[in-house]
Amino acid sequence: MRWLNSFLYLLRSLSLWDLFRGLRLTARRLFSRKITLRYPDEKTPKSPRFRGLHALRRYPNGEERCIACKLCEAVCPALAITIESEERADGSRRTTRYDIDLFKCVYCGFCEEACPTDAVVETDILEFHFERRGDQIMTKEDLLAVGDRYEEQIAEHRKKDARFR
Amino acid sequence: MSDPVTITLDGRTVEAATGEMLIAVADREGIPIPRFCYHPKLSVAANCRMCLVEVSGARGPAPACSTPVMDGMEVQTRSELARAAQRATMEFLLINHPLDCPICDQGGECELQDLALEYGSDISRYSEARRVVPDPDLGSLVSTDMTRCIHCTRCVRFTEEIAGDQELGAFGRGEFMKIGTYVERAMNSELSGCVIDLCPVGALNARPSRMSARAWELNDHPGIGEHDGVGSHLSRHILRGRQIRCVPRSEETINESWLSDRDRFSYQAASHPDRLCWPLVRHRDHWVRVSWEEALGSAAEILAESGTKAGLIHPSSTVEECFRFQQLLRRCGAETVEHRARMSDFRGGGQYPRWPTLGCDVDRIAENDVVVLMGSFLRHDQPILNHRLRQAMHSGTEVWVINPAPFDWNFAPTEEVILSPRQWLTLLQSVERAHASKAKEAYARFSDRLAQRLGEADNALFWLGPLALNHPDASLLYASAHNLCKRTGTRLGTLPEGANAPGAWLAGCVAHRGPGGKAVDGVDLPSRLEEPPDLWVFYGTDPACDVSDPAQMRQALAAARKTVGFQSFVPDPQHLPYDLLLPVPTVGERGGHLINLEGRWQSMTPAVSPPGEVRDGTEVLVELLRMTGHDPGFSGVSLVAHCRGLEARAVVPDKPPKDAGRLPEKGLLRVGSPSIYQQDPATRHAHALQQTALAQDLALRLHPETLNERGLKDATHACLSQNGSSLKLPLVVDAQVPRDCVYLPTGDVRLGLLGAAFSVVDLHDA
Repeated sequence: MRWLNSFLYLLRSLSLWDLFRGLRLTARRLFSRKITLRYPDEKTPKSPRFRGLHALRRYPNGEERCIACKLCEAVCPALAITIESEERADGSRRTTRYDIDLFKCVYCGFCEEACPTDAVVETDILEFHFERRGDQIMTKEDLLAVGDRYEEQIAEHRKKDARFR
Repeated sequence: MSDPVTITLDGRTVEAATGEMLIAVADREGIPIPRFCYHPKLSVAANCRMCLVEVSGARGPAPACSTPVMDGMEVQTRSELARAAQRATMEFLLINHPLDCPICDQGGECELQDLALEYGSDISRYSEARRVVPDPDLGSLVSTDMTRCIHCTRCVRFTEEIAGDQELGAFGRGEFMKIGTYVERAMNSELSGCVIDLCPVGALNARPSRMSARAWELNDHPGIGEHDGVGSHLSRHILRGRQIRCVPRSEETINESWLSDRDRFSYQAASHPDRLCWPLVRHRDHWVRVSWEEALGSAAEILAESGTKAGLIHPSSTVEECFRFQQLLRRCGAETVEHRARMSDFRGGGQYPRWPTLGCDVDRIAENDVVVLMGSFLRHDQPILNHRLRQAMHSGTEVWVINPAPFDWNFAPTEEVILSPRQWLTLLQSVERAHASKAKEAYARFSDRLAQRLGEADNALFWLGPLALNHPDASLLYASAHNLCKRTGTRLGTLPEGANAPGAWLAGCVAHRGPGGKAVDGVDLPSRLEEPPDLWVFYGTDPACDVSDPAQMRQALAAARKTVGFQSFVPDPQHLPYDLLLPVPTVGERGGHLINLEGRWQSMTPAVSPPGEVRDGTEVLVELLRMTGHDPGFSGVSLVAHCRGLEARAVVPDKPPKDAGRLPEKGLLRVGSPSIYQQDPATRHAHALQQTALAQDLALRLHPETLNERGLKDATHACLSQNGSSLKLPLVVDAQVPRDCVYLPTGDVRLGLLGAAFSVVDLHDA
């Protein structure tokens, strides 16, 4: 029987049988619907609950929503948020510093869950990078700028999700 | 308390004293009963109704805080009836309470928040209009958000029963009840900060730390009050290396659960913009920053090459700082090392005991039958001691007061005599004579009555306050008081300034006494001021405010060759001619031991690290000792052991000096001691304290006749001149002030170069 096995092996390798079997899968995928995307020209759809880059929101009258209650800072499992607060001249409670270290952040979304005023939110922005050490700390101004720029989108996503919250 | 009774509390058989309230018994047994208005240190109000419990046999639930125990009583704190009553009370309390916990400073440590979690319902059934209450302005220390108030009236009862001023009250009834001040003004009490701790909700909060931190993120660091002789126990609350606030730590034998505003808010000095953060040298009229190496090198050089030297240390410095300071200066040949910079009479020399004491433990003041207080507005000098004295008075102790001006006491002294300081010595001598004569005539005169009372009393205490200690005849006063006390069997106590005056004595920061009270050759401060030394060294003492005569001190500084300061705040280079300034830590940043007036050693560790390059004062002094070629000898723990060992050695009082009085016989006498928030550099740099009326009001108090004599009738302001400098000040007319005196608090930087208290001044039209 030993010679028979050797013969069959010889036949299979000489006829490139395995190669054609593999190419059959390739041929099948060549004509079926594609599942890959041409990133960054094309992108996958995202859930309104997607947890990406953080933002601080404002009310329609321009007043910042954050009241410095520090619940996000307390709930943050990665200790990524640092807040300092004081009484503003008009007697309201506001932050003087609101830093999120995006290297420490694990994007769990607890901060937006904890926020009583919907001030800190995670947008669906996932493409961001830093070129210098230290840039990963988003300051209050940075976060408010993100919020200002994407407010419409953020509001739309909150609206879509409101029913489940 | 009479016979014990037995009650059943939640099925447990418990022993209690007759008349005890149920809630106190439950607290002792560890059975939780929710409450808002009940506080063990205050009277029972029973107006929050949160502590309702079921008492079998009673018609309905009964408030545990106002139900006395009775034998055989059966109490259920968690039965269906009790729980329903508690839940209903909570629902009513929450009707008008705003849902602003996220912005409320009390959030996280709020009694209402905690109890609402257990007794509150998820949703409110109330949809009508809610109450909004305007916030009264209570000054720079206490912030108000009265919409949050639940009318427990703890603050009202506190101001009435503890602070004794009845500044807060409840107005209106039911829905319209409001807490506020009777007249539109800020709280003026020296203990006003305690209402912040008492308020179970966020209605009353600390204004200086308003909205700057949440309760859960603060680290608690135990500390000791660094401004008065009792050494209150307190907790410094730290966030990211910064002192945010200060709260009392309960210590029944000292401060109970109270804390004076001075101890509570002085932490602000640590973040004052004028903090001295680096060693500085003076370059003509401005400061130049130098490195520690350079600074220490030049300090050692100055110490080595100066001839005569004098050092003044603040009496709030720790034992360690005091010991090292005198060690360094004495090794370098200084003749004058002193902590009593406000004192002017040093003739007493060896007559004083090893260190000043109260003559009585703080918690045993009430055991005295009579307390005589001479020359002190205790309320401002030692707020906690004043509280204790007030409590003692309410339990039957008589308080006799001898002062140069009437003060705003929060109790009615049994007898108060307002006497010109010129007559104090005569008074003490006549009390002694009256006691000796034992004549049983009608006691018409104050001195006779006092002599009789001191003779009769089993337990009597005589306190000499700062006005007596800083009197130009202090040594004679002390000797007279000592003799009087010896004859009448009274204990003599003194109330020196600072948090560690006994420690400064013990460590040897006294001209004629070395460590442990050993006699040394020294030159006292007045002689030094007349004949200025080559070098002045100041440790914490501000030569512009903390000395008896700022004008004379300034001349003495100008005449000296060099001046070195171990300070926490940057002075004006033109005003104070320091050649070298070395930064030392201030309130909350220091570690070491403080000895209170009971003689109790209390240790503290730094709560935060000081800013910039500030280094521990003791370390710097030790390094300077090494650099000047001296062996520091002890290190750390062994220094404390050494200092404690010094306690055992006794010093026998000498004969009192026989000199005549030194007060000028004629002329208008300026009298005063430092006001409450001018006691030391730290309180002078605490922003919120300086904003209070107690700190801001600087006025001359005098008799209307004194004004009339000078043709100043109906004047509102007058010019006070002394030593060629004059100052325009508002006038407060008070017919009780002696005619030959004008009362003006000292220690204030606004007084400028006015010269010493207890000297003759002139008053003229502004």
